[in-house]
This record gives sequence, structure tokens and C-alpha cells, in this order.
Amino acid sequence: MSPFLRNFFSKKLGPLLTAPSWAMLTAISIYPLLYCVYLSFNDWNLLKAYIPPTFIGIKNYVDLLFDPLFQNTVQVSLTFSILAVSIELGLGIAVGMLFSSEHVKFGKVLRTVLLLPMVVTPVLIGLTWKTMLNQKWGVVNYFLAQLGVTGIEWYTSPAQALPTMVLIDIWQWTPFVALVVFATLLSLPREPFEAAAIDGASRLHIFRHITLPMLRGSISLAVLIRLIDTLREFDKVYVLTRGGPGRATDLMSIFAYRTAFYHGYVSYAAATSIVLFIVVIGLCTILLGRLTPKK
Amino acid sequence: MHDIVGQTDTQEVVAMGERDLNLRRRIEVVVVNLVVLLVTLWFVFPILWEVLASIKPPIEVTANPPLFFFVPTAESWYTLLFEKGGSLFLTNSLVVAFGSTALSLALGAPTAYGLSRFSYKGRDSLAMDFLSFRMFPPIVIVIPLFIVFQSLAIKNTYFGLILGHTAFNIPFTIWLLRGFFMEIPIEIEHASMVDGCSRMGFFWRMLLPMSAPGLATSIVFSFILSWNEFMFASVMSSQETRTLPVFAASLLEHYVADWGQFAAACTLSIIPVFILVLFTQRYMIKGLTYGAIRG
Repeated sequence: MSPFLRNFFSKKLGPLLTAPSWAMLTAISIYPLLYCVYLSFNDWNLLKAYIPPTFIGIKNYVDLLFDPLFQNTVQVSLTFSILAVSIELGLGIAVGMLFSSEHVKFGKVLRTVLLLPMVVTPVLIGLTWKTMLNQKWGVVNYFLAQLGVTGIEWYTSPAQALPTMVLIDIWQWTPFVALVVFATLLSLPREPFEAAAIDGASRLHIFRHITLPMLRGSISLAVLIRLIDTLREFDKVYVLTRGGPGRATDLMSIFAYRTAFYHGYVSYAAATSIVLFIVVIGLCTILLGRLTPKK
Repeated sequence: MHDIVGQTDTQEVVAMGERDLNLRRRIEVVVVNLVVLLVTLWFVFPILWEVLASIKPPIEVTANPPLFFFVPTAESWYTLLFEKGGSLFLTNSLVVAFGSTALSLALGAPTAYGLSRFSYKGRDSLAMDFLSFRMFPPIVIVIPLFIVFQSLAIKNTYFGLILGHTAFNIPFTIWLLRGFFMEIPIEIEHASMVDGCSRMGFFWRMLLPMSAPGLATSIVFSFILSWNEFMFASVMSSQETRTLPVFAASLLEHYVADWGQFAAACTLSIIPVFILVLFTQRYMIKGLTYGAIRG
């Protein structure tokens, strides 16, 4: 190797090491994204693939805007996301604080158990709840009947299906917020809490004025991650309801998936997923900008 | 109180107060642990219920009222593994998950090195670029890759599945490993350079061995991400290359759903994840928050 080349490689080694990953991601992420954008400006149905894609400009996006089914998915997605994240946040803080209590025995074992809902295959979580919520023989309605509550239809009723999906998401992801809160509490300095206790501050006061502000950073991060994940939610809901009954749980990903792989209408589905992409990336940019401390 | 009671009484009051405090403390300990136990039970019950269902006599899985005590049988397991070809789908899932993990690590580890132990202009924003791939809604990649893989004739192959899962895994591996690499003190790097270690020599002989927990965590995460993935696998796999989640979901699609076998498939899918989580639980929160929070 010539001295010039050797010098170049050793100086640029850092950025050069990232090249293989860039190459790979270009092939399997950037190119597909651009291809998706291209598709969204065309009219193409896979079931009639012999007719090549025809350029139609922004017609797909205009159609989406006036498509009542798409308006419905936006509403369903936002409701799902906001409900699930806010309840997970509240419950998660409570559970996290509870587990950080000095009185808890076997905390380590129980925290490992809390990890399970997050790592079990989401599809199987959806279907496990389908078995538990079965109206005829499900174990949940059996327990509720013992308590005198009957007639809840869960995922089979249009009105109750979306709240049921929110409930399942809460079951799966509340431990996430809880464990983030727990981990952050452990890393906090003890002094402010002790000082406040000596000064006679009530527990509520300590929570409101010391704990919450100190948790703010990591909680915002957890909320951001949850917002992204709930907006692109697919697995659990798809296997449980396929977006139904009717269109009651038709999340954006499910709408795009059905349009592409049931109806073969990939160009319209591509436009839908680009809208979802813009929403998610936009949200990230706005929230991350707020989260990063200003210098 | 001090003003109204005499000297001797004060001691008695203090003693009573202490007894009171002790009692209150004990009640608190009991209450806290009871609530913690109930919370944990709520999060683990669905998983336990499914594991139990897999060893029930198949007919009893849908019994009403639900069966809590029974003689365990391996009938559902036997049917799943030896008559329904469950072992094939298990192998498929293992091949794809290991393949994608290996590929992500081979590409991601050098990249993480280039993004952590070198200083050059734009390094951190380059790292953020990699993270932003993780925010992609999967549907944006799945629709175009479906068309591309079909025309390349790698749809329904292990290779295609591994490539697709790698798109989701690389950004994760890079970001996680980068966090671990950054924690290695610079003095160690200087010392090894003084001893004549080249930059790549340091990577192989020092950085990788010293970041063993980080490597283990990123391997576990890649494996679980690929193991659990559904949307991509559901459209990219044929009967022969089907992964476990896709197969398990299909068990409930028949006219007569195989609830017992589904329970066995669920349990089968949980076992490896459970073992992996036990080994790396110390770093799970770090992984789940993209390395932002130490757990």
C-alpha cells in the first residue's frame, strides 16, 4: 500500500468502519423507503401486475385525504396511541415507585418476571388474550362472573374492541415504564429526599416536588419510545381482530397491510405507509429536539 | 406534647410512639408486599395460563368453567411437534434468528467501534442517523421489499428472511454496542497503543473481550427481535420456511381452532426467550431504552 493510501485509511478509519453498515442499510432500508415513495406516486395493483405502474402524481395522497376508511384509521391509531401511552405512564410510575420501596422482598426475582410481557412474541400475546377473553369459556369472564360482572364482549363488540386492545397494550408495556422509573430512582442521590424528610415534607410533597422533576428526563424518553411503538403497532391487534369488528381497531399499519397484501393495491398502501412514516419521524424530531438539553 | 406531660411521662409516651411506629411499619411492609405480589401476578398470569393450557388434555382447554386442577398430559405437545411439523418451524425460527443476529453483529460491531472510539467531525450526528432507522415503521420496508424480493426470487427463502430481519436489527446492535464501547476508559486504549497495538488490534484483542456483557446483550436483543418478528415473516415465508410465530397464529385460523396446540406453540416460543432474559436481565432496561438508561 502506498504511504498516501495508508495515511488516508488510518486517518479515515473511524468513518470507514461505518461503511459496511451503510451499504447494507442502503440496500434494505433506504432503497425500500425510496421505492415506497416512488410507488406512492404511481398506480399499481399486484393482482394486475401485468399492467406496469403508471405515474399519477399525488392522486394517492389526495384520495387518502378523502377516504373515510383512512380517516377512520387515523382516528383509531391516535386514540389507541394516546390512551395506551397515558395509562401506561400513570400506572408505570405507580408500579415503579412501589417496586422501589425498601420494604419489597424478593424484588429482584419479581422484576425479572416484569420483563416477560415485553419480550414474549407480540403475536402470541394477542392470541393468548384472545383465548383468555373468549366469551364462552375464557378465564377472564369466568373470574368476572364470580364477582358478579357479566356480559362484557371484549374484542367481539365494535364499541369494546379498541379499549380491549388498549388493555392488552397496557398489560404488555406498563412494566417498561415501571422498570425505567425504578432504574432511574435507584440512580438518584439520596440527599434531597433525606433533607426533605427532615424538614417534615409530606410524601405527596416529596413526590410532587422532588421525585417527579428528577424522573422527568427518563420518563419523557420512555413516553417517546412508547408513542413511536404504539403508532406503528401491528402484531397483537392484527392477529386478534384483523382491524375489526367492522373497522373498530383498524390501525394504520393494519390498513396498509390489508391494502397491500389482501387487495394487492401496493401503491395506495405505499402512500399510507409514507404518511405513517412522516408522522412517526416528525414526532421523533419534534420531541427529541425538546428532550435534548440546550447548550 | 412535651409541654403538658411531665418528665417521667415523656419517656412512656416516646416508648408508646415507638411501638406505634413499629406496628405501622410492619403493616406497611405487609401491605406493600401484598400489592407487589398482586401486581406481579397480574403481569405473569396470562403467560402461566398459556403454559398450563399446553399440558391440559386438549378437550379441557376450552372447558367452561375453566379447569384449574388436572392430570398433566403431553398430548398437545406431541401433536404439535410430530404431527403438525412444529419442529420444522422451530428450526426455521432458530436459523433465521441466528443468521440475522450473526449478520447484524458482524456489520454492527465495527460500525459501533467507528462511532465510539474515534473523534471526527459529525460523528454523533452520524450515530443519530443510524438510530433513526430504528424508528421506521416496519410496513414502510415490508411492502417494497416484498416486491423486490419477489423479483430477485429470494422471497420464501431463509436468506430473504434473514436480510429483512437484519434491517431491523443493525441499528439496534450499533446503538447498543456504541453505548457499551464508550464506557471503556480511554487510558486502556492509550496503554495498549503504547504497547504497539494497532487500532484494529485494540478492537479485536481489547475492546471486544472487555465488552462481553454488551456483546451478550446485543446478541440477545437481536435474537429476540428476529424470533418475535411477525409482519415481515408472514408475507415472506412459504410453508417450508415459515417461522414459529406465523405458524402459531395459523393454528387459530382453522375452522376448528387448535387451542391446546396453540398453547404448546406459545410455550415453545417463550422458553428460549425466557432463558436468554434470565442471563442478561441486568442489561435489559438499557437495551429496551436504546442504551439511554442504565438498568
